[in-house]
Amino acid sequence: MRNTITQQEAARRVEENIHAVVALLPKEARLEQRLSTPQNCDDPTDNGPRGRVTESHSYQIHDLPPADYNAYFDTIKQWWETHNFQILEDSRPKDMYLWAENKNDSFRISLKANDVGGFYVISTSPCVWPEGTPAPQN
Amino acid sequence: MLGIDSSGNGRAIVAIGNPDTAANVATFVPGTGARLGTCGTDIGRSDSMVDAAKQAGSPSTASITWIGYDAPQDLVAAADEDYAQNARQDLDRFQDGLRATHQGTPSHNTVIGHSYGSTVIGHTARDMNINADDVVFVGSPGTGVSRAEDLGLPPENVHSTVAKHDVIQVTNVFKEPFDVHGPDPAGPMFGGNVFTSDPGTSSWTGYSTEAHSQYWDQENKALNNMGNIIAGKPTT
Repeated sequence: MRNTITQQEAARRVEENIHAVVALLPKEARLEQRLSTPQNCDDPTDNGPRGRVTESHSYQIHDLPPADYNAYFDTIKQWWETHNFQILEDSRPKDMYLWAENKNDSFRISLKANDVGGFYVISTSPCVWPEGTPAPQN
Repeated sequence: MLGIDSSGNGRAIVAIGNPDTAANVATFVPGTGARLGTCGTDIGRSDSMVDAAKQAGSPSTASITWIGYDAPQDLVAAADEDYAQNARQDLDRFQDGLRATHQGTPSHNTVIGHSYGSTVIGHTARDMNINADDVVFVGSPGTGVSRAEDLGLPPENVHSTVAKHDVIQVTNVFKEPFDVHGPDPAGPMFGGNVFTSDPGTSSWTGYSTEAHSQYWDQENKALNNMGNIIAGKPTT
């Protein structure tokens, strides 16, 4: 079992990825935090190392015109492609969904928009040990 | 907190959002190993499903983590259908209770089962005519029936998924009568709607226990699709 970055560092990088996206949007964009709780990377029946967590933060982006969402997606996709992210999926035009992964640290980030005007950004860390070092296994 | 019982392995019924007013209400039934002491993981999954449903366009969502039964605590015990049989009445009553307390326009109710939790839902639907609009089977060892139509719901409202590398597929290698809980509901002959999951972590065998628990990882297509189903939208 290998060391990882700490959970605190994972949370910092997740937020950094989200705010990099928001910096590309018009200044009137307003974030509402939706989900920001660490989630366990194990399961009661999982025989793998226990104790790892993933930081996953999701935000809804308010106050932007839905008619411009596609253009925002284009801008952000271009930025990711020129800043060491690999595009994992672009589901347009069928679905407004764009998903990317950082080539260095495997942090992932996605954009979503739905048919009722919702616009979301979600970023997730890989599984990490809370303190960066493997927990003692029972 | 809708209910808690610390006797035995413990039971817990915990809601996120307000089931009495939400337009879309999900009940999540976890599987093997579920108990009061581990409900944090399952509540986290409910939280993720509420978020996924909102992202899919649900105007208001509640999700209830229902550990309202004595779940098998290991894989040997999980071969026994008695746990599902003993849970039917409580789950059925719970679904009736959701309908009775809901205010205004009836909500769209979805019951989602993971692993043995799917077996519980299958037995309840088969035997008790479960009061739900949609049922979802995630990584299922079987649901107690051979065909979706035997669950008392329109087949298009019976949704299933299994990850390519989910070790649960090993439980469905043998055919009836050796397939204890019945065929994989995500299999080709079951009928119903099969939706996409990410393949999950692989191993030298082609299967892993990790893949059995990755369905609720953020950006897993399974989670996105569960959000779609809860919101009453089509799956991919």
